Amino acid sequence: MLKMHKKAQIFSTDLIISAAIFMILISFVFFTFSRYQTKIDDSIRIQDMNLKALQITELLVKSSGEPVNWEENVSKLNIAGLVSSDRRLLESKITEFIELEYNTTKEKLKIMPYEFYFALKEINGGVAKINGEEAEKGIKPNLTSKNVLTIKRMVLYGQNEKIIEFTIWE
Amino acid sequence: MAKMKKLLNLQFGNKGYIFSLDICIALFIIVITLIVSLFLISRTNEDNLSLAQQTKLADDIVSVLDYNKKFDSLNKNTISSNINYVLPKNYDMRFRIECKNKIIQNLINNTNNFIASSERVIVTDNLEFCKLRYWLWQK
Repeated sequence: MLKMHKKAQIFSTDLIISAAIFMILISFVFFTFSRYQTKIDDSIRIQDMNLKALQITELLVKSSGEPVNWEENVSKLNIAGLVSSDRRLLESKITEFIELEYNTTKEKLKIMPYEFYFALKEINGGVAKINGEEAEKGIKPNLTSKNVLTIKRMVLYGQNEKIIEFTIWE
Repeated sequence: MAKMKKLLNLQFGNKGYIFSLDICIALFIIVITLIVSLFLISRTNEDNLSLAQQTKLADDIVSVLDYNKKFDSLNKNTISSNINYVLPKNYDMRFRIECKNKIIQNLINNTNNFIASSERVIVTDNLEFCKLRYWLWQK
């Protein structure tokens, strides 16, 4: 009877210690995982934003858009493109693009659910002017913006080198 | 002694501790793997963007200068100054133009950073076909 009693005590102590260690470690794993869950989500979002920004800028600087002369009738616009040929900006396209309504642009460029800011800049960094107006559109990211990605592409506007700056943020 | 241990069932107790140690090691490995993989994922994102940006920049600069006929002089200093005018300050670029009877190149030492490199055929106003090779890297 005494022997059985001792056996049970040792087994219980052993179980309690191992269960405690197990619980501590499991808690640690869950704590680490939940902490990094946000980072994983962020990472997936950044990758998505990165891909969108690269594809959109590629489209803007290398394609005339669909239909090719969309700037003549904006209501028929399917895909926006800003050039007459590879990296040569067409003034009428960029003017119409800047005048497009913000949400329409987001929808046509499939930017949702992110926000964007677009600017045509001089080599020295200042915003270029077209017909006296600064060539920019969209909403600039602010201090509370979470993920901000900017892609810069060099283009020709007439004979001058300019930079298309496209920022996607949330 | 062994008989005594057996009687007190201490052997069973030791097994329990070894089992706990197993869990500790396994969980420790899992946690380390988790942290390292997350760190690598987040680093890859940053790298991808800067490398893609660098590759596009190199391609853009050469295309735009070619369309603007800035390579046609086939003069090392003129071409270098044209490139430096559009090249962002934190980048360096090296080029080598091989024409039929001439080779023009600027010899800038490159670094151990990632180098975006490619080739392009340019045609001068005198209908001379030249092969342009270029390397662009972050300073």
